[in-house]
Amino acid sequence: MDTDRADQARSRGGGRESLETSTAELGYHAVPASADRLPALRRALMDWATQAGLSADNVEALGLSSYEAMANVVEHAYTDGDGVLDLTAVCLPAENRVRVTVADRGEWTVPPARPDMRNGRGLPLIRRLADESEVVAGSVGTTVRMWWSLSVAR
Amino acid sequence: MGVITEGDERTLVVKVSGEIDLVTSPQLEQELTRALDTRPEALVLDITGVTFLSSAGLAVLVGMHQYAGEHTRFRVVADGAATLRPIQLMGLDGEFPVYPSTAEAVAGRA
Repeated sequence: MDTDRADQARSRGGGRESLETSTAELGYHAVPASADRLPALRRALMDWATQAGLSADNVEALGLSSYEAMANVVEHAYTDGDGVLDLTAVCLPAENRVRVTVADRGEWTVPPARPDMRNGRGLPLIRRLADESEVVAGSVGTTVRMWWSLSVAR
Repeated sequence: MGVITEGDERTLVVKVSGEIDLVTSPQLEQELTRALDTRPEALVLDITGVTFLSSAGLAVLVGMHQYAGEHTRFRVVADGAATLRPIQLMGLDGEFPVYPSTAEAVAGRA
């Protein structure tokens, strides 16, 4: 357990990430991927986004999109139902926008197409709500990245 | 999430408040199934008191609209960004009628 934590800390340190986080960053690492954890994470993200200077509309969009990305991890990433997710939100002042990243270390089990399209609206919602988004499936899990513009100062 | 069901055998009004997410959407599905099983002529689902509507909640709306079938007219009352925006973004307002107020939904006016 302790060894795992140390490995995770090492693998996340000193990367490209640290160069971009010149201002406030929100990070939750190795959170158990369970549905009852998500409301508090969503609220923390929305508080952070408000502080970061996003418009009320974008704060809502960021909250829902991030929830959907995390819900996908809870529902699809871990077949044994026991895994973790990483949630990171960073301000990118040079780009005048923020980025939210939701990453898992599992393998998405894509549900077979069903007539009622049950729970198939998470990623489409993200695509419509975010200014830009991407889903990257890697060898050690899937990462969803989403961007929103910062409000213009008035 | 809170659910209050009122009305008569012709028109049932189900008022929902709080958050409809992964955790609470099964409960909403249960309540709506129970309401639809009484076979009212119309079921008005008022989600103006809902502060968060995730895709799990959208799936319940779509599923219950299908479950209502030919017998029961399924109508949704929604306003504000938290509920109306995801419904419109996914084009669900083209699948079932969405009204700005309960009175209009009960009356069934477009």
